[in-house]
Amino acid sequence: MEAQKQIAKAKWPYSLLDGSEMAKLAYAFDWSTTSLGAIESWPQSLRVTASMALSNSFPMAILWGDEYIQLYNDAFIPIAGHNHPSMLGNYCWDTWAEVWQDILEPAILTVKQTGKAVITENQHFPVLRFGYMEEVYCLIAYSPLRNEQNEIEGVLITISETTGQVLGERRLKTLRSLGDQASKARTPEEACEIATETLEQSAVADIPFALIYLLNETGKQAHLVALTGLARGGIVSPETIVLSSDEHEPWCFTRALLSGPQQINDLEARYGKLPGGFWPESPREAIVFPLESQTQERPVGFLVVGVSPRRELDEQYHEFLMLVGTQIANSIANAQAYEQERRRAEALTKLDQAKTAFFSNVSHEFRTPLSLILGPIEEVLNDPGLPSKPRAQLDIMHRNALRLLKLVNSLLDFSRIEENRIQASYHPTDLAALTLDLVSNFRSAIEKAGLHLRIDCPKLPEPIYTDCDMWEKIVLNLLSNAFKHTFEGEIEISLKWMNDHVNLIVRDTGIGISADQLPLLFERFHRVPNARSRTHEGTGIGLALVKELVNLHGGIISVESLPEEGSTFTVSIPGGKAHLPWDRIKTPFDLPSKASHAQSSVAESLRWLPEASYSATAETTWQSSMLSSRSCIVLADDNADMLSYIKRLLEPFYDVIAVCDGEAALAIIKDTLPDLVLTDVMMPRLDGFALLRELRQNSRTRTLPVIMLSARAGEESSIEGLEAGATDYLVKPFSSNELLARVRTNLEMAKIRKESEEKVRQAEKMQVIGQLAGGVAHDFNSLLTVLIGRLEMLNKHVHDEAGQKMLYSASNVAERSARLVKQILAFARKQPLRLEQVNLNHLFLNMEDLLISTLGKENRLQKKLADNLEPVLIDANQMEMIILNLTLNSRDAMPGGGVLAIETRNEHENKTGELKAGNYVLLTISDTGTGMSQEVLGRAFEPFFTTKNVGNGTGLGLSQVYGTVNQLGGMIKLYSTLGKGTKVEILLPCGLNLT
Amino acid sequence: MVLSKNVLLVEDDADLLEYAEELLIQLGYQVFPAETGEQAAKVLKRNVHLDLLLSDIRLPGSMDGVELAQKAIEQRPNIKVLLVSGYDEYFLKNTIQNVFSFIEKPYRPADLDSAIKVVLGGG
Repeated sequence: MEAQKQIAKAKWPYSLLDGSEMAKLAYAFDWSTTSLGAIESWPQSLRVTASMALSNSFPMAILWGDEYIQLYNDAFIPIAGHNHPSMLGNYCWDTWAEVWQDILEPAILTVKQTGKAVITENQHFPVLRFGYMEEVYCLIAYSPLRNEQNEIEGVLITISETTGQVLGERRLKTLRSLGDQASKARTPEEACEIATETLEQSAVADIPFALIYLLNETGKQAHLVALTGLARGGIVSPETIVLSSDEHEPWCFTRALLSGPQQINDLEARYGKLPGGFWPESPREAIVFPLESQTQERPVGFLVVGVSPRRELDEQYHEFLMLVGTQIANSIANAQAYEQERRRAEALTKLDQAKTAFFSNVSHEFRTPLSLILGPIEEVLNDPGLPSKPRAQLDIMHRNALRLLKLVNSLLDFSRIEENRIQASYHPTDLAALTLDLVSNFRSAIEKAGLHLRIDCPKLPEPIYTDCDMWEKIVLNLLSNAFKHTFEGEIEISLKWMNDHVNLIVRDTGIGISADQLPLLFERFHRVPNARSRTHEGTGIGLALVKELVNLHGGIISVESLPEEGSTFTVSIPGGKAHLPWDRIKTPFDLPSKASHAQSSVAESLRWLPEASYSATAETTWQSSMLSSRSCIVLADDNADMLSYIKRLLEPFYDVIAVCDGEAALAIIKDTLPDLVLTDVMMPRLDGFALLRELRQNSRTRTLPVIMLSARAGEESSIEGLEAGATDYLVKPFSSNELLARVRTNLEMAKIRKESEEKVRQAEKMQVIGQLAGGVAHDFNSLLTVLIGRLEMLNKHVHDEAGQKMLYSASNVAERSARLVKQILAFARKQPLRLEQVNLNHLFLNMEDLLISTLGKENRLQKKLADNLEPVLIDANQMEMIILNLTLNSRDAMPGGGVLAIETRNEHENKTGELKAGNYVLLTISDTGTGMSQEVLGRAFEPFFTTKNVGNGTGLGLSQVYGTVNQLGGMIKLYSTLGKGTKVEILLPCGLNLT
Repeated sequence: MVLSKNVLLVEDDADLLEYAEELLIQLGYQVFPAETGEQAAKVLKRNVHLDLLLSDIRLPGSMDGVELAQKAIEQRPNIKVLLVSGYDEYFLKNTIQNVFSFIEKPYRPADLDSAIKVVLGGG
């Protein structure tokens, strides 16, 4: 034996024995047990190959002979994994049993049969190492090894590990498809579902399971939205997770929120075995990522991913998972943005439809009452004997009613077009004549304003198919627009035949329209902001309506404009009738007279001209206001009728300076500093809000009361007004009384404010409420007197029992109402205490009569008053109210009659509980009534808690008593026994106790 | 036959005025109704005998019930005054109680009857 080994040693290359572990092992191995036989017997070819392989630093293995006995080098050890070293000298098919048939044998056979090398790239080659089966990829080269007879005796396997490359590509693909799918989602939920589907399809080897939770609005609860690899609703995947920062909180969401991704290493200990996705093993780890995109302030949810049981969670893997989280977060953010956009669009569409429907309805509703207003007014106006003063008033009403009717009509037209209900009839029309007629109506108004009107409407070569009503609206709208915005220069209307169509051109030298406003001009409800204008009356639908009407004629409208130079509107209508629906084309007929429409349009425009005497009036009023001590009010409104109406209302009481826009108002306010400003919201040049802003920025006018007048009803606008700093807000239409009351109240409020600036605002409010309540109570009590008295009178005339019963119940209710009024008053009167030294005995004796009458004849009042009673420091009024309240309670608790006992006593308190040590007076009020249960007793001091049957009481009494006694620095205790009665003890501090 | 006593009744609420007038007539008084302090002042100037001024404290116009009562006593030292308060008995007690008698709204017919009798000195 020893000798044989010596020989073998001699035959084995010694040099290998130094560095190579495998050479040592191979040398020590007893090859004689294998088909290779002892090393000495190995053929030269095997020896050379082995020597080459063992000294190579590239992973190599030699399979020799028919049994594929293995020999491998040091570099192969990591690939061999747990098969090292048992693989040495073993059969290949035995060592690699799992992959033999599928991977190794076919390649080896091919090599053996063909004598050519075989290479398989990125071959999955699972290796059990580091204690777990690892997912490994390799490039494997199989090369033939020949013996001395040149026969293929073995195979040399050369391996290069490509795991990093394979995983890298695979993960990149996952991320890419997540990104590709991201844009498809329309809701956050959908985004999550698409993400988990994508993961299921392309990342099942990297991510055995994934859960996506989204946080609710409060951020306190997360809901499972999508998942893959797991079943819904288990302990691993609960539908809802409440964020509790509890150690037992599944998936540590709270911690993830605070400190970022959480790695969970004890997965099996927490949840037991979990599905491994592509792999048979259960995942050992999971990571929780907060889902956070760059566009969001806080995480929207969490991604929980299982870590592959076959991979170590190295840096690349971790980064991949994190990127998955980011991708999902981004696609959720995209979906959210999309959803918001869609909702907005939907809301806008709905709003639009609602507006159309609303206008349609409202316009209809308005027309009836308007006709009823117009009819009688016109009838009266037609009376030649009408004196001039009422005639002037009626004229104003008439004009405004007409204007309203016009607005309503255009709204109605518009909604008809929107609903496709308008029925146009196209008649062959002499358009030049019709247009001339319409325009000349405007001449005097335009010239009165100092503008030049140029008309150029030559006869056209052919009649144009038009709906005359619509054409009239087109022309009048454009013309009145031009008039509204032109202050000097001219307005030109021309009609030009362009061979196949006709152009109507309305050109003015007005304020023009800035380029950014031009595209919006024909949009419904769009009004060019802060455009200088003769009036701000209007709905913002004029041009939109014109455009629709032009479109109905198969035409187009365009506008060119330069700010400060003017605007030119061009309407083009095709000639002929081929472009019109055949069933709406009519035969020629005479033009109906439409003068009335044009006239109302003209009459309205005339009103936009300021009265010549206007500035003079303002001047004189202003001067008189300087002299008188009356309150001075600046009034701004662009509607001249409204202006003079309000002015007339206010003038008997106040000095009024009326101006017709915000700029003028601002100037006069800065000069005179009035007591109050009354301003319209919509005004040309400087609107009401802008005026308000200016006033609030200036320290002199910061607290100036400003009442906004607006036709825009609804809470929104009043909040807008009040937020902008308006003192009060009045919505048109308002009654004259309302206006006067608001003006008066606001002036008074301002006065109070000035007089007592040191008072807290809250106190003022309470005062006003108190005054109000007082006023209301007075009226209420007057009404109740009548009610109670009349009921009693009636009682004498009603003799049947049922009738008397009803009267009795009515009287009861009236009495209760009276009590309610008193209590509400007392509640409203929570003023600062007016403390004074009061002897409770005196106080009681003063109100004894009142108490006796309150108690009624059935009940008796018993008193036990201490001699030498110390005075207490209280608010006498409040104390009286307390006693009255308790007496009322007792009376109600003694329906069959009983005794109310009142007792006073000096007490000394030695610091027990919450009371300070010192002298007190104890007031005890007890009754022999029904008493209270323990439960009722516990809640007796709660406001609005009442035991009395529906409406026998208000539930305010005892809570009020409690509050007051506490306020006085005392203490109240309640004792009660059911069926025996109730005792109330009130401890009040003596005057000297308080510091 | 005892001569009926004359009452100047002042109340701005029309319904209440009508009711109180009716009630007073039922109670056997002769009633001179007025809606405002100014109207009542005119009655005071007229040459009629008046035993009692029964007036609401809060009245519209320039004169409230207390002012009217002071005026009445100046002009007719023998007239008795009973004021009707709609609310705020505290205010009354502290300031007017020592000068004038008062009755609180809402009063019952019997309340008014007895209050008037007390003021007029036991009827």
